[in-house]
Amino acid sequence: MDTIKQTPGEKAFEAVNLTLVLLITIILLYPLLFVILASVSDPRRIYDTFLLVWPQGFNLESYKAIFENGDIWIGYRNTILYTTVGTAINVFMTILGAYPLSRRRFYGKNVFTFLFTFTMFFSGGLIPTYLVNQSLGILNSIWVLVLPGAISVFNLIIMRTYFQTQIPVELEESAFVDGCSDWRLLFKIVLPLSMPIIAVMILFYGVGHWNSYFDSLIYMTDRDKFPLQLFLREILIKNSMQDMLGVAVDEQYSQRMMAREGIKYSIVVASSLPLLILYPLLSKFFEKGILVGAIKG
Amino acid sequence: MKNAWVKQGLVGGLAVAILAGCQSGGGDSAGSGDSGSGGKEGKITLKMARDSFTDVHPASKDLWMWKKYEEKTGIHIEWEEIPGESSAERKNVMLASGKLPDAFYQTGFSSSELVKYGEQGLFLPLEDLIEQHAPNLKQWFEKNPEVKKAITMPDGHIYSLPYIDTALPYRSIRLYINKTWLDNLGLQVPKTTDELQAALKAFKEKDANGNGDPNDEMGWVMPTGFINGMFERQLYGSFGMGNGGYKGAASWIYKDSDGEVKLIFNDPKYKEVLQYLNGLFKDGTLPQLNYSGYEYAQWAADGSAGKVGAFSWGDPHYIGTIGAKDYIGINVLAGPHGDKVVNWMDPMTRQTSSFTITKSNKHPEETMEWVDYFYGEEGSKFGYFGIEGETYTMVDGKPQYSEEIRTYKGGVQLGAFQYVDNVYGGGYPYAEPDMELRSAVKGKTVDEDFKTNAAELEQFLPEEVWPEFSPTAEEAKKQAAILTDINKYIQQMRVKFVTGQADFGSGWDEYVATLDKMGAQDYLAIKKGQYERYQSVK
Amino acid sequence: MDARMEIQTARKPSAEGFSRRLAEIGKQLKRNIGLYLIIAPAFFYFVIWHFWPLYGIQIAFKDYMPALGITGSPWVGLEHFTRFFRTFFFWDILRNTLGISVYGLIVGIPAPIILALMFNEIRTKRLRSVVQTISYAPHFISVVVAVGILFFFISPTTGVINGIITRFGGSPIDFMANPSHFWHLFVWSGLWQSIGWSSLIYTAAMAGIPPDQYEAAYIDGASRFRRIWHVTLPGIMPTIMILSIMSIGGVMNVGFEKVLLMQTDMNLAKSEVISTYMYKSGIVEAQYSFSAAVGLFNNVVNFILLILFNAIAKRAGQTSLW
Repeated sequence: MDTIKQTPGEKAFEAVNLTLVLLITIILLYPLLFVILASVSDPRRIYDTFLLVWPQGFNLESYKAIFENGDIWIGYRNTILYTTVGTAINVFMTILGAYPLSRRRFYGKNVFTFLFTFTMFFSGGLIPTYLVNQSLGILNSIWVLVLPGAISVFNLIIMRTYFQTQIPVELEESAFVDGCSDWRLLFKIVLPLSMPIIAVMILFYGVGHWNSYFDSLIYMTDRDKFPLQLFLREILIKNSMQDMLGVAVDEQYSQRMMAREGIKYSIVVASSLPLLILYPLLSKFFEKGILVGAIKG
Repeated sequence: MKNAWVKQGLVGGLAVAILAGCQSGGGDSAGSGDSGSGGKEGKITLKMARDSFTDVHPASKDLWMWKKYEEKTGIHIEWEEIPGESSAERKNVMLASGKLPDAFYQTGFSSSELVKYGEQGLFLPLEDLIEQHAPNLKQWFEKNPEVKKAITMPDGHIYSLPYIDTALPYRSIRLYINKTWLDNLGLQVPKTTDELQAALKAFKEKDANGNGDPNDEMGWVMPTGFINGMFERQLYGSFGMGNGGYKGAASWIYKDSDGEVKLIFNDPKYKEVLQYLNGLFKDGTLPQLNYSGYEYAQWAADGSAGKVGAFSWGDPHYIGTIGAKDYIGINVLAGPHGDKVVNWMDPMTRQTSSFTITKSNKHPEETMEWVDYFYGEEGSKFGYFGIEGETYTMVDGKPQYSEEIRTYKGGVQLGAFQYVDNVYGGGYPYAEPDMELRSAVKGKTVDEDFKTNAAELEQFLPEEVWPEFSPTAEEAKKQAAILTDINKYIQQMRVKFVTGQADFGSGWDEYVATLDKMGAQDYLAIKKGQYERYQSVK
Repeated sequence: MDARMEIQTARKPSAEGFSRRLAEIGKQLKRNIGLYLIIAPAFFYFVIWHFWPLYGIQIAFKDYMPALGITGSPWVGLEHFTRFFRTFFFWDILRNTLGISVYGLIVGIPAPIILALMFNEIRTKRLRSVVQTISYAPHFISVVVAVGILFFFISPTTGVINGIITRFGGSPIDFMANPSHFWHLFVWSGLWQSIGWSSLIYTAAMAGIPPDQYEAAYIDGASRFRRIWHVTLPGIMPTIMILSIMSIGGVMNVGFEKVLLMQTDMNLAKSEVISTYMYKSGIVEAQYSFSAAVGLFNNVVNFILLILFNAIAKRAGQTSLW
């Protein structure tokens, strides 16, 4: 694309586009900035002025509150484990489900698609699922966190659409002529061409695992298996236990509640920072895809 | 796509059944003559599920109090700690999967859950166990029959144990008014609703905080949503609807002077309450913030900045350290017709489901003894203060926490919580110690603690203070359906009345008519029936 | 391709035709055996964790009691559904739910596409990467914090928005007090959180468009705009269609946590949706079956809408789910 010359019209277009993008970026960015600033501010001062462009009373109390509790590191460790294992399973299984559905010659593909989509809408609910997991004997283990959610139909459909549009039949045919089996075709040829969508899947599933807490809430009984989010939420929720209306509180109550305000923000930063670094790394895959596509053309 | 399952916000507290083993060397309270069940060979282990507070204090298995208690009773407890947020789902899942603990400690169950699970045999009926193995609790029944009435279910059985508190200040709330401002303006502490209105108005008009800005004083204000459960309910007592107490008001019923149980929400007296609030609103002393986006942190910040005229809570600390400094607690106001009742008063049985014994329990007798300890004087003190010489000392006849607890980083209460369980969270299966002792251990008198004249409370108690009436399964279904709609309607309408968007003439009539259409009269009939059943329990 | 022609010619009506068809099917199965093997693990996954628990749907038609188990609990038929439909506020909460959803769709479907297109036209890789990262960062903010920030900005006393309004001589607006503001606040704050994240899919789809198509268009004299219109958009149209169809299939699901946080007494008329109503009725009485029934109702409506729009898309010659 860089070789295409630019007319004045093009230049104008770019200028306008850039301005709009920057404007939107600022709107999207400011509240985030607010979160970061609030997380390093004295919680009691957050409401002092109505525009926070600088930390009010810079302090790291909110971060101390999270990290001085040794549990947090257990949380990080567990979450990293669950996320890597889980995402790997997710991506692998989703590919296995999406690829066949994307082939026109696949006999029964509409049936499968319908069945899979059906599960997006109709589910037995928490208790039957719990009982199933119980029968499988996977309670309170990593498997109950990564297996039941192995495939998200939403993601599967997205991936299928990608395969449909990006992997033409001609490619398949020439591969078969060369004596390639379905498996080899999938893994040796199709996947390398699908890096962008795989990158997106890694991101989607990865973030899903990273932020999840409900399943652990229900299934994990050992504290040393808790994921990060559970510990973080504990810190927030705990104080509200005393919110039985009117219950006599102690003198430090208000201070704790105020501190909790600041903690709300530092929690967001602590839990999302690792993720935000992920995309720039993954964006390399997006570029790669374009390159390979050009070659195949 | 995950279904968001209905979260039940009610988590009273897992009743940790404290099955206190008997023992009692101190020979106080009845029943200490029990044969020590600790004398059995082989240690008994009980599995108990409870809400977890593990982020603010050690897990129960490591907590000083439980370790000491195990030494005392010889019974080992395996605790399952449920993260508070999910306790409803976890409970359901536990019950569904059939893997029941031996007991639920400090977990709240609604009355209908208790009845359902009791009838199905999931929870054991406890009356006989109490009769034979819970002498302390029996004494409570004898001295205070209302305790027994509160925990008896419609089928005549008892399926859970109570959380008892005799202290009136802990069971009620007060209107905390800014004493500094009153002093600044030379005003007396209001004793009637009219005086309150005048005082709040003066705050607004006369720059009560003396900072030169005439507009920054707010009248009665709290974070959004609190006004309905706090201030408004307090006013019922000043307008003649106070008999029945807090739980009555929460169920929208009261007992009128003619002896009839009536509904609050369509009563002419309720109209007067709303008219009073409307008056404050028009004065500008009831900010709209009470009903729209005002969060706790902002309110507390405004409070410490000296902007809040009045609020209502059990004690002044809720707003911060400025609460105890600048505010004084009004227990009760006389209304326009002379009614003067502390309506916002919890019954002695503050929670009815603090402890349940499940059908998996192989040692129900020992379990009952284990928990009964905490209803006696010794156990009660143990749960709150600990052991003399270890966690507290006696100073001038009053207990005082150890130095370590008093100087704990998060404050005295949390400091104590590192050792004993019953100082944070509420809803434990036990009876609270005397209030003088509880305040003394913090170094204060009761009046100092609550910034009020606590003796007043007894003077103006309602005639009857009801617990939440337990429904049959049929009643539970019906009242749930009716209440959901009625509550929603009232929530929408009351703010309209207070802010003047709806009028008190035809608007009120239409409101009453709509409530009837939603089943108000059916609801009243159900409640009347429940009241009768409550009265008839021996 | 050949297989299809073969099937068309085998049109003998009669037993012979029938066994011919069977043979054809057999042939198809054999041809695709590799694909069947590939899809097998995924299929088993669905069977175990999605189809097996399906028996739990009965809960919506029973009075579920944990002690009795699902099979042992008594049937109550449509009782829960009737109760739900009979509730005084049924039409209000239905209207609010659909209103918020549809409004959300109208805003939320085009916006990420446009954003992705705009990002795609940025030539500097570095800059593009930076703005994209910033754009999806709001997705990571928990809903509690996001609502907190929203309240902060619109606060009648300390909020920026009202600060600007008063600076220009107006009087402060209490946004949370007026029902008519609710839908706007809810939808636009939702867009803020989701636009960047949703645009990722489109970015990936765009990355897959072969550059020679752009070259060809350029050679034909197409301007930037026309290249977008004729190359990029058609290139991602299948993705757009699929995502739109699936979004429509989510129309009954207005997430309850955020609504609950944003509800106040004063805006209830427009802010009570099905999920929050269910949550509140659950507080009054533990109602597992009732919420299961309402959930089922929601899902049925969603599914019907999905099938409907899928059929429409197919008719229009566009990509569809099946």
